[in-house]
Amino acid sequence: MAVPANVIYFVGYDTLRNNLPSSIPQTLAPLVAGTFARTFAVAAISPIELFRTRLQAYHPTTNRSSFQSVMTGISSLVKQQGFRSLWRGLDLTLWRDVPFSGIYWMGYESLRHRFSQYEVFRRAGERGFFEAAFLSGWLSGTFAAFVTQPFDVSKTRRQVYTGESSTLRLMGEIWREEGIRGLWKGFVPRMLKVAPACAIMYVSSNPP
Amino acid sequence: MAAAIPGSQQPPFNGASVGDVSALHKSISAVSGAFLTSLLVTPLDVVRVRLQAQHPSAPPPSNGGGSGLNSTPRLGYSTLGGESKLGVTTCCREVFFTRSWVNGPGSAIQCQYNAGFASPVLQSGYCAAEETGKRTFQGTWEGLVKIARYEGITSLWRGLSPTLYALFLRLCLIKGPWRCLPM
Repeated sequence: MAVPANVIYFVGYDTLRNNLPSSIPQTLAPLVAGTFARTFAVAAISPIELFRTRLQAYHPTTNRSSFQSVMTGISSLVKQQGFRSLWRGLDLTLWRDVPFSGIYWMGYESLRHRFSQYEVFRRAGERGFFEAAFLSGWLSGTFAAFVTQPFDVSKTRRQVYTGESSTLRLMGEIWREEGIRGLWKGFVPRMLKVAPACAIMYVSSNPP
Repeated sequence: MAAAIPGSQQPPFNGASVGDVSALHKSISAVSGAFLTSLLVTPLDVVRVRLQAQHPSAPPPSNGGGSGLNSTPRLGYSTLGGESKLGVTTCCREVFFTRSWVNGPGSAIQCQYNAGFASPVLQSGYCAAEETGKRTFQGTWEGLVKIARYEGITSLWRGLSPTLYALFLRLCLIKGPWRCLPM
C-alpha cells in the first residue's frame, strides 16, 4: 500500500477535479474528487496516525519517555509482521472517515439550506448566516460521528494492540466484552470536538 | 497597492493584485484555522483514545500467555496500568500489613496476587489498586482531570506534533501542494 511519494504529491483535489472523466456529472465532481483525494491522503498519513494513536494511548509506567516506548513497540511490530504493518488500521480509518465525510457534508448542505429559509436566521444578517452554518455543522457532525463511532473504537483497538483478527471479529469481541456501549466508547469526547471545529472552520474559511 | 486591505470595498487599482492578496489571506486563515482547531481539540483526542484503549479484559487464560486473544495488550511497556479491573480491588498494604525488620516497620512486603495470570509483584508503598485507579477512568471529565493531575498538564496535548504534521500533509494533498505553502 505504499504509494510512491511523487504520485501523492501531484494528486491534489484540483488536479483530480479538473481531470475527471466526462462521464461523471459536474455536480458530483467535487464529491468524487474529494473522496479520492481524501483516501490518498489518509493512506499516506496512516503510519503517522498509528504512531499518534499509540502515543496517545500510552500512560507512563516506567521512566522511559513516551516517544521511546512507542517507537520500541512499533519497531518490534514491524519486525514481527513486516513493513506493511505500519499501515495497520488503515481500512478501519477509511471506514470511519469516508462515511463521516459523506454524511457530514450531505447533512450540512441540506440543513443549511433548510435553516436559511427560516425567518429567525434571515433577519439576523451576517450573524444569522454564521449561526445557521454553525448549527447545521454541529448537528450534522454529531450525527455523522455517532454513526461512525464503532469504526473509531475498532481502529483504536486495532492500532494499539497486536493480534490478528478480522474487523467483524474484533467488533464482535468488543460487543461481547463490553456490551453495545463498548462500541460507542469515546463518543462523548469525539462529539465535543465537533462544535469548536465547526466554528473555527467557518470563521477561518470566511475570514472577516 | 500595498495598502489594499483584503476584503475591503475599495475599487482595485490593479484587480489582479487585490485578488491575489485576498486569496493568500484566505489560504493563510484556512490553514491556521485548521491548526488552531487541532491545538484546541487534542486533549479530547487523548481522552478518547485512552478510553478506547482501556482493556476491560477478563484475565487471560492461566497458561500465562494470552497470545490467543485477539487484542492482547503488548505495547512494549508494562501493561500493569492498562487493565482497569484486574481483580485488584484491595490495596496490598491493607491485606498484608506487617512489621518486618527487614523492610522497615509497617511496610507492606511483597504481595502477590496470584489470580491465575501474570501477578504484579508489589514493592513497599506501591498499591496496585491505587495505581490502577489513577490511570483508568470512565468518563470524559474524569479522564481530563486524572491525566492532568497524575501525568502532568502537558500530557493532555500528547500527540500534538504528529497531528500537526499529518494535518499539514493532508492539507497539501487534498488542496494541492501550491495551496498549503502561501508564497
